[in-house]
Amino acid sequence: MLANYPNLSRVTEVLDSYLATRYPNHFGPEPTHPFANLKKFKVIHDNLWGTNRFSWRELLVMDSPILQRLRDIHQTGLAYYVYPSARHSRFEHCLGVTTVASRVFDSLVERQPELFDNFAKTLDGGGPTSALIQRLRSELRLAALLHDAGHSMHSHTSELVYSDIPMLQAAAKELTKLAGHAKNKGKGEVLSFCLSQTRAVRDLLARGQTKLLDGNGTDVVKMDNVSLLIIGRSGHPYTQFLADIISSDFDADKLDYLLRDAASAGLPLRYDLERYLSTVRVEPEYVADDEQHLLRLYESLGVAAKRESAGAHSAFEHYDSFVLRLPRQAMSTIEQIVICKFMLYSYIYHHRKVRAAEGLLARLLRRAVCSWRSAGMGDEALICKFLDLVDPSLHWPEFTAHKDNRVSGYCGRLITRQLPREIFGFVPNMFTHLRAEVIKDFTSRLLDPDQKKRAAAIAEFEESFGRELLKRNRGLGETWEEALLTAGAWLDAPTAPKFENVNLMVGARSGADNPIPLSSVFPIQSWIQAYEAHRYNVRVFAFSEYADDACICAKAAMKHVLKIDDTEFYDSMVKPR
Amino acid sequence: MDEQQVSLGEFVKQVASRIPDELHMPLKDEKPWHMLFYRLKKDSGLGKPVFFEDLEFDWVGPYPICQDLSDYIHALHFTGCMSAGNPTYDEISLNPGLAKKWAAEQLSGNLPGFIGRAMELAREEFAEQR
Repeated sequence: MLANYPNLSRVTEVLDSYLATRYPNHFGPEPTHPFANLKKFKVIHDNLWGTNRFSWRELLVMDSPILQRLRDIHQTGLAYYVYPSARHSRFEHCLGVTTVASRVFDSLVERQPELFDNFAKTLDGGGPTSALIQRLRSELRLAALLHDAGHSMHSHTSELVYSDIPMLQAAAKELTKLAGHAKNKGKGEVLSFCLSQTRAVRDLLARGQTKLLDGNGTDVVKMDNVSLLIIGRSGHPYTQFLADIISSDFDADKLDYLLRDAASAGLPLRYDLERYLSTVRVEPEYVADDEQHLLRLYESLGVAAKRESAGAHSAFEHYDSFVLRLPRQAMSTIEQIVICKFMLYSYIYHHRKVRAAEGLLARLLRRAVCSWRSAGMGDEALICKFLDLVDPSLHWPEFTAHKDNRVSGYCGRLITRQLPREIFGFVPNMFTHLRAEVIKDFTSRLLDPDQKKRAAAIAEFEESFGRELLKRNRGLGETWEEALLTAGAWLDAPTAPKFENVNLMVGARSGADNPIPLSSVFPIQSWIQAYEAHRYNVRVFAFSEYADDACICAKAAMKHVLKIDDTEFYDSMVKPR
Repeated sequence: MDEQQVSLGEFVKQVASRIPDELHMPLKDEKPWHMLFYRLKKDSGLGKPVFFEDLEFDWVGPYPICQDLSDYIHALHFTGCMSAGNPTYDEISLNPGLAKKWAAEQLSGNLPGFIGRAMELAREEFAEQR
């Protein structure tokens, strides 16, 4: 499958080499794991989903270092600095997604059995439906288990730094072509995909097969299918609904993290999973493929999927597919999920102190990466380095005693929770008259999809900000960049919560042929607009000891950028202590 | 700003600021936006911005979807650059002051010609949805 994707192939080789060296007992030339014969399944309890069964195959992966390292990575990064109980890990999230994914799958099998009978005739050449269901379920659960395997310390914060590794960027571009949809946002997903493609994982599963108690491990999974599900694409257009269960707007990932993050943080947010399960359906859809990504994918997998000509259903050549849909009867659940997502962004992910802590960590990691590169570390070594890092790594001398005092200093601040303060900022919609246009124009540049343009808009403010800081205090450093680093000062413009492809997900009525956009029955655009208009914040942070100076300088810098001469205007952006 | 420098966001703003009164920019149904930008990506006209080479579309339904484009239209909406005053959120309109400001930006190279081409296609795509 990776034959035409050199960067994905290379990352997979790097991971194989890393796993063999780092964990020889599991993945080396003469592995000793699993030591004993395996049980066919074990029961694991979860605070959200209760008692759940995991198969020998899932246990093998779960008990390997690939998943075990996730025990030391907090699901919500540094959010525990604001919500002390939000200390749940990526590990329990992965188990939760596995449970929820199979509950969705089981619900579909129970309520649409005829569909799976038809799939068995088409996909498995007339084999028994039960065998097909077992294989698809196993592949789905394995994908759910591995979907976050590529995360590093403090989850999404380190993912920001993955963007500074060109090999991962190139691999993400290839993954986009392979999957036929954009995979540029979360580089951790690239690593999860490549980990699932390693020989290490395949060999581990093969060894496990021979270690079953009764020696009767004849069921098989196709790891290419597992890997594709992780990135939201199925190995056959008919089973695209499986990929939707793992990666879509109402996927098992979201169903787990919304409840888990809220419950762990102590926020009383809920949605009705039972209603979701009793209404979710598989429906036919036409999937266009004008750029021929899917054609190449199916050919590489040896899948004989019929390609339809352009016509009434699509203006492009396309495949008949089956996708996951929520019917109109699920509207109340959709509302709850949308509200939960907005609330979590506002309360947790975009909380000012969480943004401050994560911004500080991102700066620390970027400095550390620079120093590792100066010491001769290339992209491949950096990828391995990030797989070694877990949240407790912040306490390692590698960071606490780093020769770059920015790294060690920021590390000390993070460990002792001396976080920067929000000193200045605005909600783009808070102004009226002429000023509104200027601030909205500036915000439109801060949110440009082009990372370089966004960085340029931020730099326009930060350069002026840094120079003003230097004017007031020469002791902050030699350059404006140093002044900002010393003062722990930056401008923060986060990306807003998204609801990708939401309009493709809703059926008109349960079982109806003509799906309708969600926005036709639920005013999602107006909700997004109304919510973000009041909750989307552009903020300026600085360490407390520099806050007074930084506030004056931020006003001057903003005046430089916006070119409005009105003291009251800038005073209104100051955040009181 | 020329075809080498312009970003997706800047190009969207240039198109939006030139939409004539008789055309309406869709919001609720994003398909015309995606079809417009996919056609522009496939267009071989002079002055095509460089960013189109890397512009990625998702193939998950009957037509291509550009997530970056979708996100940016929503960003322009929730930041108040564009507003959906109509009760159904079918259409968006650009703040007149911003339209004037963006349309006045200096364009160079062959970019103005390509924006003209974009307006021709926008007339077709945006008109179809009404």
